[in-house]
Amino acid sequence: MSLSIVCHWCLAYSGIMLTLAIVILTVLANVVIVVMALQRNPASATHRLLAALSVVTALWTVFNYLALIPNTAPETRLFWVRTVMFATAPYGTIILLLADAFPGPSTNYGRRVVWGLFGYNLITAVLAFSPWMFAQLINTSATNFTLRPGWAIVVYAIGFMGFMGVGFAKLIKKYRASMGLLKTQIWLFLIGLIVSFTLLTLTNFIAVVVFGSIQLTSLGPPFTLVFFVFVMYAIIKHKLLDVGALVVRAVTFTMLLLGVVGVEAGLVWSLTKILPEGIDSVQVAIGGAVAIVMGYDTLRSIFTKLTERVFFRGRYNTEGVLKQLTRVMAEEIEIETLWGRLQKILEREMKVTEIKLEWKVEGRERWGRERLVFDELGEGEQKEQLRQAEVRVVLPLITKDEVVGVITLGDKLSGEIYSVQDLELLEILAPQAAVAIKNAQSYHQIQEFNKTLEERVKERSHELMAAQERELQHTTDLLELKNEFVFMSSHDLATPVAAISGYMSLIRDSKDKLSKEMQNNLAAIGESVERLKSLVNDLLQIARGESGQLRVEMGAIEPAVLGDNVLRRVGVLAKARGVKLDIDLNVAGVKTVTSDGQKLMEILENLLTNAIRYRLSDAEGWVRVSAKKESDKLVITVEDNGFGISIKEQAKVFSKFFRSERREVREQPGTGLGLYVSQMLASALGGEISFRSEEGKGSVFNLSFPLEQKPRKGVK
Amino acid sequence: MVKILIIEDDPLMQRMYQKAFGFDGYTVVVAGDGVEGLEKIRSEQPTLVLLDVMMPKMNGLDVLTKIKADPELKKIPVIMLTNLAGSADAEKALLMGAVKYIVKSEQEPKAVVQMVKEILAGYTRDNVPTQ
Repeated sequence: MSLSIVCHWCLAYSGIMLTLAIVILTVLANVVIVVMALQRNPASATHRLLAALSVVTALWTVFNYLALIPNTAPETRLFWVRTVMFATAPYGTIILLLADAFPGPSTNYGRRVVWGLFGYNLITAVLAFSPWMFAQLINTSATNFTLRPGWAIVVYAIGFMGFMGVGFAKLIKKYRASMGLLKTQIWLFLIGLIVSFTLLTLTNFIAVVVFGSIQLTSLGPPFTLVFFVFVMYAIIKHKLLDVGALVVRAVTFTMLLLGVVGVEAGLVWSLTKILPEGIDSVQVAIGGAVAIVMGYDTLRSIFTKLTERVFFRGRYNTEGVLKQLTRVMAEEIEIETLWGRLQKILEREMKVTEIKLEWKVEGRERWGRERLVFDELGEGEQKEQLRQAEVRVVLPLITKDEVVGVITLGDKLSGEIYSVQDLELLEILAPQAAVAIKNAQSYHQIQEFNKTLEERVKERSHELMAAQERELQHTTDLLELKNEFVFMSSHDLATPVAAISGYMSLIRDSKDKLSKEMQNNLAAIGESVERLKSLVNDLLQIARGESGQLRVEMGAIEPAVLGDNVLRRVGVLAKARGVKLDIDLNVAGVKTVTSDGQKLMEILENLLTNAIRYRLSDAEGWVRVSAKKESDKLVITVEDNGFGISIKEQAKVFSKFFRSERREVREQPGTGLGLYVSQMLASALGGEISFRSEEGKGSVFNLSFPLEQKPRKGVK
Repeated sequence: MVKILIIEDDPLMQRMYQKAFGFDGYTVVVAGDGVEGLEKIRSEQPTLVLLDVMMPKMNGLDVLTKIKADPELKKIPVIMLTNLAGSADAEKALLMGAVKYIVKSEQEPKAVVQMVKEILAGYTRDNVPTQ
């Protein structure tokens, strides 16, 4: 029922209700600082000293209040005043040490000095309860009194104002020497400290001791609130003590508590005034408490909103942002897209001007392996580099001890420094992003590698193709040269051959009578000329065929007529060799075929010449030429009972310049071009020559070619 | 009187055809190259021309082009003489207005004279067989 007790005080001494509220507020504020400081880093001297300072302040506030309660007996009052002096004895020392340590983890003073200082405080504290500090207290009215100080008050003054003064001086010196964030923190701390302690020294010490007035002492606690406000501001806006997030809740609850107390007190006070007599104040208090409990949630949300609006403008939900970032990192593998999306989210949520990622080898090691925050850096080369690059935060991305990239952030749009939340977010993001970037890099490398490989392969194939082309060109050139040579030779040979055979015919046709011997000689010349002619013609055909200039002249051919023509060409030879020649190319149902008559003639002449020439001398030779239709082809068969072709030689029959090793063949004139040219011509007609042969029995050659075909030219 | 102009650069061939046609009582005029041939066509106004394809100075095809471009000469029938069977030039000559081409090594002089005789007997450009 503490509330009810408080309210009895309120009712009885409504005049000092405000004082009480301030006392409670001050105590709470200091408790907040103690809790935050010790929770964050209990090992740090700054944190511990700040906590001690707040404890002393809270105690002093309470004792000071007790000493000022109206209508208190002088002895009791004196006791409380002495308690105040007792409790505040270490004030100066605490401030001196705090100033020395701030904002670091330890003081520069040695253990002896520290114990010496506290020893002095202990003496002062003991003296506080002796009559030598305050000999007597005289109540002048219900709310006022005077004190008679003794010599020991000087001891107290030295320990309080002297040490504090040295502390201030130290802080000022430190402030002037510091830079960046630290400077701001020291400045805020210093101002808070100087303003509040100067004021409370004036009101609660100088005024009391020198002017004998206690009227102003109630202002003491509000003055310490000045310090509280400055420290809080430094904590929230400038990361003092690194307690950021903790503050949110602390401030919210402090204000909530104050609000509850205030509302309850106001309610009870006003209700007891308005309500008729007979209603117990306790009941009113309970009613008020119930009302407050009912409205607690509403109040809390109002305060939460209020504090967030004041302290956390532009805040974001860390978890939500991280979730977004994580999703992007899971989705993207292409480094540019990945970073593009991360960048967008960071810029939007943290409201930062320029966020960059350096992931290439040349740039990523530039800032080292440590996270750098511009405002936390002391003046120096590194800070100057950051300033020049307009970078405020450097976040190296490290995975498996390798710096895979570095994220740099520019100014925040608000112009403020990076909050603890920002830095926490980045800290959590860094290792995840490092892995994601590393993966993307690997992917990128594989792609680059593929690209290079592809280029190399292309380059090589290109070179190879060029070499092949050169080789081919070379070969083609040689072939062309050869064909041109053959062509020109054939042409030049043709003229004299034509002249010889022409003149021979003139001799034959002349009216002059030739002797038998001359006629025989002439016939020999004639045969040689014929061979020469056919050799020239074969060479010419080969040259044309190999240079793709073989011309095919299609026309309607009657097989029977073809047979007659062939007979006319080889009849003489067959007769001379005593070979029985039987040619019958009539095919039932085939009146004409479409092909090149000249070429067919040439092929058949070759086949027949061979068949007639290569006969066994001891048998009666015969050659049969027949034709038949096989689907859309005409097959002309030349069959003989000559000595055939050995199996060994069968594969080479159609090769250029092939001649059998047989003595009989060697004895015969021939160039070995006949079958080669025949096969070439046959294929130019869309047909082919095949054969079967048995050595000593004879050969069968089949020429097959299409019955119908479209005229075509330039068959190779 | 039928006058044959033989334009042929090879003197042996020239003389051979001259003899063959001489036997049969034709008047024969010869020229040793294309340029001389063209001059002789104009000056001699032959009944028929035997024209070799491969010749120095001006080849047979060029001579043929000139003949066919001249309104006074283009009616004179031209027979091409060629060394090689199945050459593209011969076919081209037919398209350009020659009445026939003869592969020299394939036809005896007597046969050539016979062909000329046939051509002159029934000569109109349209019904002369090409081969």
